[in-house]
Amino acid sequence: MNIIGREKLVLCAIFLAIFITLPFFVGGGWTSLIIEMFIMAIAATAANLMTGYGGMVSFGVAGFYGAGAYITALLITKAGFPFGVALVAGPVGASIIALPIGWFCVRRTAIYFSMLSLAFAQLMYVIVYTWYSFAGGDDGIVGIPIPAFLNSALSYYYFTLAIMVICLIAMWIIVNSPFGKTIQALRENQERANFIGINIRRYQHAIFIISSFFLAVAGSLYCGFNQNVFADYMFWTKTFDIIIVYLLGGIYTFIGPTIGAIIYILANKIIIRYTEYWPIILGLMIVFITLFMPNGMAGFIWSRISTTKKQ
Amino acid sequence: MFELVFGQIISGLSVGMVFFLIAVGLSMVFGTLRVLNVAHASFYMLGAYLCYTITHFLGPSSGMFWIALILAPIGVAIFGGILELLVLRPIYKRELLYQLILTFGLILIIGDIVKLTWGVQFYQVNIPWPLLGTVSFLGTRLSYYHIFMIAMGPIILILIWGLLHKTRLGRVIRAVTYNRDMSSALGVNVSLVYTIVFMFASWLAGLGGTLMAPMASVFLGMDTTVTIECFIIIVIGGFGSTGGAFLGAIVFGLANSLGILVLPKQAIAFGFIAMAAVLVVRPWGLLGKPE
Amino acid sequence: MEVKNLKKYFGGISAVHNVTFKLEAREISSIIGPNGAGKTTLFNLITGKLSPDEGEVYLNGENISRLQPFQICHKKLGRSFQITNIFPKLSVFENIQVAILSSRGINKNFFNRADRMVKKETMEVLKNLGLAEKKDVWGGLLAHGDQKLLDIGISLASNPGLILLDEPTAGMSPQETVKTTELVKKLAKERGMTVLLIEHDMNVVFSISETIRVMHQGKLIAEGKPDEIKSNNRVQQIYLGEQG
Repeated sequence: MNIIGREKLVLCAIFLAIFITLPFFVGGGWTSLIIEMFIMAIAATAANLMTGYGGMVSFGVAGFYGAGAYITALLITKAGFPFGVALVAGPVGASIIALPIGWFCVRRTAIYFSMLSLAFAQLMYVIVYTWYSFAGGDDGIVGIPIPAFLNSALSYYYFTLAIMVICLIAMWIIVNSPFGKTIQALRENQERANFIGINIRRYQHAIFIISSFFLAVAGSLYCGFNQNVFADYMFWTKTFDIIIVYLLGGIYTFIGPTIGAIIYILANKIIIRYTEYWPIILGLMIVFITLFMPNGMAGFIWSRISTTKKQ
Repeated sequence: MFELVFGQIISGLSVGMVFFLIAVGLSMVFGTLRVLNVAHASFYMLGAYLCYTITHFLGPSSGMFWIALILAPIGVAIFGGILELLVLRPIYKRELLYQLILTFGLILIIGDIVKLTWGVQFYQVNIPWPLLGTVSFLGTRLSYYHIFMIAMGPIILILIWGLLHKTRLGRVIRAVTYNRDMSSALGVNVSLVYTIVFMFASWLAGLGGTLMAPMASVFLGMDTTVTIECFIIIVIGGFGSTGGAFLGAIVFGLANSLGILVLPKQAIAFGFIAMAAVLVVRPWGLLGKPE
Repeated sequence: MEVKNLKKYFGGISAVHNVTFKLEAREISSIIGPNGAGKTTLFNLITGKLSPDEGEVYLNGENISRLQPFQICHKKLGRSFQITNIFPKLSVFENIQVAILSSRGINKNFFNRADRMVKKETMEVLKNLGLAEKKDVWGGLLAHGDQKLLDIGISLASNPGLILLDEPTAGMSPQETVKTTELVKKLAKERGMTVLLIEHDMNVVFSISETIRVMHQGKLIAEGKPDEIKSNNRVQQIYLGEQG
């Protein structure tokens, strides 16, 4: 298997080992924290499929994240579906929603694409926020039951870890496949791609749907984790959270968003303990990263490693 | 019934004018600097807070409002100018995504600066003395202040139009908007133009905040109440179009206030539906130009 | 390939006016003419970037006038660009690879990045271009001449039957120009390609073309063998007039 370099494979194995054994060394509070990191890692990597690989900046990623969560929640509470089925149905349902939305969105480029994806996501938010009887309105849905064997932080931890690993591997395969190369070519030069026979809209539509699928996986997992859903899951501030995470980590590497997720959630939880002024600290971090580390933490570390290697 | 609808129209128009003030600045900044400043609404909030501080400077006497109306927007403009010089300049050449995120960071920073300076309470600004009270019109009562707010819209619109089309500075701004490199090659100090436009936009937003202060409370988070709405307006009206911002703001203000009568909870959806519709059918907006 | 009565207007100006000609298979020919004669517009019309206001374009008997570029590409027509048009942040290898993959019809997933088959073909194209040692360099970091070569390489990669090259040697040094000219000649012979060039470098034009067509102000004003064109008064007038 030549896809992944020997060193990277070893690193992944080490991290996997760390994550597997971590819960035995840290308390329950930390376990929950890391679950959040896993979920955010899936979401940010999924969103980055469109941005870093496809060059399409979507402001509507929270819509599909929330859609996954809501579909799962509704299937469990209103239709009595078992958790496993609902968890799968979330992403599938979100992909179905992504079909028409994506079709419209990819017909626009640059800022118009961004604005249109935002408009659709906010529409989804409004639907969920105002439909009290069906979706709980601004109260959301709470007290969602999950199977007994998942009902502890520890078991949900391993459950989420397993799903994250599967999702990341799947997304890795996709970006390194010919399809993935084509998407990157589209990011680089749409016109040239057109002239080598690539149907731009179709490929962009495809990556939009794939990205939405994995975003919804994250949302569904989060629904199971908190055992609730709120309309906020779809609000544009959630989209910006995800965007900050993948920018923080670096959009031009695969592992960037995951690193961003770890840093962001860690920073959030730690700093909030000491001060109520988390927003300004986050804001300063964002300004700093944007101005001085445009390739994010991952890019920064990578360039440091490359320069030391040369020496 | 008529009073209700008419009342909603008036309030919709007056809020619309405030939206216009904010949106047109955002639109100008995008049109000329090619930067989408998500934090633009923060200037609006700053304007409102400055208005409060100035009006209460010598005790809550209503006369101070007029001083605030002059000073607060200027204060915001100065703040905007500093921000532009320090933080915005480096990112002009960067892609949209970085501009968006950087300015989003600014929302957070400015928000907390406001919190640190003024705390978390809600503040009230009184409607200034000459404009207290209502007048009878067509069988209903119209508040003088509402009329004042509605009048400000066209006044500022004419002011902006006059600036852009009748002054030398305006011609320079339009040249830079149309073709930055050419203008630069012809000796225009593009950086200075950028700063001026940004400060003007900040001034407008600050003015909007100042005008809004007596109408609603001054509170943290008032920036997020208008941010998305301004996006909707400039998408509908057209990026970079002043008339478009005016038109879009009126349409939005009315659609909102009348929509509340019909479908109160869903009223916010109309804005997004309109936004999506415009983007699908005519992305450059009603009065914008295709690029 | 055949072009019939092609017309294209921009505003009130006709950029291409009533152009008609026919390309035989395996013919290597050039289109020359002063700047603004409508040559690139003609290419855009043929390759689907623009659609004609009047007239048709036929490829192997099929009417391709209204097709999109990506569809026309799959009919074995390749094109390079006047202003270099490559994938800057992809490596040289990937630039060619993605073109080859596309021409084969791409599948999603489960293919190793260094897809066995395509690796061979990609390296072959790179060797022909002389870019094999630079295969891991980002396209955007290459020197200008190499970027133009890469651009040509991308259009060659899908093994087209007809290839349109828009000023392939523009901005190249004399050595690079010779290299490129030889490459085009060699590949055309090897693969039996039909080649249509737009060129300003008369040395290239006369050394490589079997037929030359001259455009001026949107019209096709002369067509013939190199010697005929050289001695054509009207052509001389146009060129000397421009330089005068």
